[in-house]
Amino acid sequence: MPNAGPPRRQPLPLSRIVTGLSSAHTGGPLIGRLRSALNATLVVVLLGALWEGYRALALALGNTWPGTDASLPIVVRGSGNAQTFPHLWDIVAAFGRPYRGGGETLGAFLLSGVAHTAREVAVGFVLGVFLGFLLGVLFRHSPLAERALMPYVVASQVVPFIAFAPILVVVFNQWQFLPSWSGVAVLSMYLVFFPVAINTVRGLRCAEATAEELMRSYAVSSWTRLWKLRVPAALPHLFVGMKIGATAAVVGAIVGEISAPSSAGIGGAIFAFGRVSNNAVQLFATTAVAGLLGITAYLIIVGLERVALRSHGG
Amino acid sequence: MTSTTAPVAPVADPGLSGRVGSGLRRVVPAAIAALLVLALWELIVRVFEIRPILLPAPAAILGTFLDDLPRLAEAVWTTGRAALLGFLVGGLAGFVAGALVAGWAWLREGMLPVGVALGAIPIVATAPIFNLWFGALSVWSNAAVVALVVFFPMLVNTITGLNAAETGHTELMRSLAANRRTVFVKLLLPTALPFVFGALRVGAALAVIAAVVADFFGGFRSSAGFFIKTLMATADYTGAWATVLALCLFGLALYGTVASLERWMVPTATES
Amino acid sequence: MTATQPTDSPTGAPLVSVRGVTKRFGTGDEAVVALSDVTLDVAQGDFVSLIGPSGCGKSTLLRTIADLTPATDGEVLVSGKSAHQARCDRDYGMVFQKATLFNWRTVRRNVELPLEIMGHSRQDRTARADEMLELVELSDFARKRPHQLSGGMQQRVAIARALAFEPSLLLMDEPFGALDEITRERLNDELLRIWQRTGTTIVFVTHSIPEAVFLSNRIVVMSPRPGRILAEIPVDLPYPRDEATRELPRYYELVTEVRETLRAAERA
Repeated sequence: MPNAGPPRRQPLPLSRIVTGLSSAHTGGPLIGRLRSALNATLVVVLLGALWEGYRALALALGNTWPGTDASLPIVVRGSGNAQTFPHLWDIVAAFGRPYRGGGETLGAFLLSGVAHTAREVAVGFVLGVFLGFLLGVLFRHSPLAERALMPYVVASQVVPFIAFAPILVVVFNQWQFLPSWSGVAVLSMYLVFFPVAINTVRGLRCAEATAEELMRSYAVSSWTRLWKLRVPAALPHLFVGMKIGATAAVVGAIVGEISAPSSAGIGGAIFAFGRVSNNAVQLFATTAVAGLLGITAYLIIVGLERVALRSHGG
Repeated sequence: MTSTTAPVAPVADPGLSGRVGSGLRRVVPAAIAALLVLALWELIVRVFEIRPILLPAPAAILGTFLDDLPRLAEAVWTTGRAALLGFLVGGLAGFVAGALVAGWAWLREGMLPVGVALGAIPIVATAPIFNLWFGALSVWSNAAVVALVVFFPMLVNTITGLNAAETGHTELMRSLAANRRTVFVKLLLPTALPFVFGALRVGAALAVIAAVVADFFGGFRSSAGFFIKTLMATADYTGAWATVLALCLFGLALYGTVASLERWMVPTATES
Repeated sequence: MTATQPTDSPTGAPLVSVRGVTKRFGTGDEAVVALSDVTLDVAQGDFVSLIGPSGCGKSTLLRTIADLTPATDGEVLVSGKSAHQARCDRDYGMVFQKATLFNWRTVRRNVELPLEIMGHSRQDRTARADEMLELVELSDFARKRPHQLSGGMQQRVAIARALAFEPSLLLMDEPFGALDEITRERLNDELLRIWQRTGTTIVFVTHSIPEAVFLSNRIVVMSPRPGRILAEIPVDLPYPRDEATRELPRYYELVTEVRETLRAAERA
């Protein structure tokens, strides 16, 4: 007897970028969701306990392996803002305090940084999705274009193209009519377009053969076929690409910012706090904000996906 | 796959001529496209006298690349060493952690969303933290960033892969009264292998990327990332492009190695 | 081999003995009774088919014999042991509806799998696998991978795998259900030949009446909701059975008899 499971669509691992293997993770009914939320919370608590546990253990052992002089991999020392391994609550508390001598709190400072970075992420993401979608449609329509360009599109992702970051930033600074952050946005765009293009091609092939033949029997134009059949059928795949892209856009923006001469945004803040070791607690807090930014970008697309695929009927 | 593919009799093994033919059909358009782009690029740079700060000519980049080969090799090796080290450590740790987690249902169910969430974090941003912990001039600082970047895809894919066995296969093993170890070695591991290699391929690409980004945060003066930043600051734009080229070759080599290993170890990888 | 075999074989205890087995899925009001007080004996050397409409519990019955689904009530004995013990002793080989071959192994290595699990030596494994592949006439395909084989060939490999360690009992769960009629008839001929050559006892689940009549020496007809045994019909067709058997008047009579028994159950 075939077992009818719930339809499978859920967050996909990063590996989707190259493998195309889908996750077997299924989203069940409410009870299942609640249970997995509980399990996830447990895991988060466990990770937090590991952090604090390591801290306590290292201090208790005097930062060395028991019975030897060899120091532990991470040495816990320092006080105030210069701690190498602060309590989790000290990191949280840092947001409420001024981040240098006096004035603005770290939280307020990072909020303006988030605004700066989010703009780059948003512009880069939208451009990247647009470009990736166009490329995907082109590849689906022209096998010749696919054969000619696809190898390079793939190779460009295997290659550390991100090394271009300092070059891009300088090049875009040449054009005074563009805002100073446009180089960073372009780097974001570049990281976004690939997963979107690959998944668009894959998705546009998803329409059932019989539906394709039905369209042929109606003698519709390829434009109609694209919008009435192939794009709706491609939506789930398109969202897979966009979820990966959302994460990549944040990476691109932060890497772009640290390679730019003017250190603005969250990436700039990380770079600045990382330079001076007595700002360690601020560094931890800022890095956490970068993490939240990535997760938020991802969740926004997950939310959009829920809405879009609900009306799409799954 | 595409409508242009001529229908062929369903023979299991296509003849050699068939393979060469389809191989050529794959390679020729890509090669022509590359030559066209390079020629156009060279032409535009020369005709419009574009400054190297915007876009150096391909011939100039290649010239610098060949002239500076020893220096570039050293820079790429400084970065590549951290990438390789982190790739191995992170891959192994991700696999072991995934194999342990896969055994417990609640941990597995809790770990997957957390793993996906952590995968959405720009992990490269943790580079300064590792510099703080291991010292900016330790290869382990950069390797740790790489390891972390490689760890999560491997963790998620190992968990997914070890749970991907078909019901029929697990029932077969049960009907044969196979013990846990046997089931793991003979069924679960082979089922997970394509997933593991998927993570390794992603990891190979991410490892070099993460290593370069870690370079940007300072550390080794001889590293490729530092090199690029310095060359840009000293207006040696062609040199910066040549360094990127060298890094790309290293990235391709690492990816290619993993991909061939996969073809060798996963017999079913070539179909799909 | 005689044309029909009595249920209680004179040689002693039956190979499979199902005593008052009941299987419920779920609990309380939502419980579904898949099997209700089923009693059945299978003698050494029997070829018994379980037939009935979907949901009659024929697969569940087979799976309780295999100890893949535990019975809620009652007792299953295989070779005089509990079904669980019999599974641990590898007293039976199983063939599923899907071939369930490992794609990452060659055909020969698939057949070797149970032998590997039981710790046979490499030489022994290769020798037996080759013997089994000869039995199912797939010797030329030993080095191929499962996906390079047709559905019928894959199922033959699965049979070779199930027989590789020479179990006294072969359990088959709609093994040819997914195949086309022509392939199915060919495999029926082959299975019968294997049965006669090896003397293995076979319990065979099917929903095809002609298949059951052609293969079995006894047909167990089951009805759904709750799953129970309606009738046991002995098949007195002469051996060896071949293409000509399918054209005997007695063959048609038996097909009709089974069909009418199933119909009667539906009306009741």
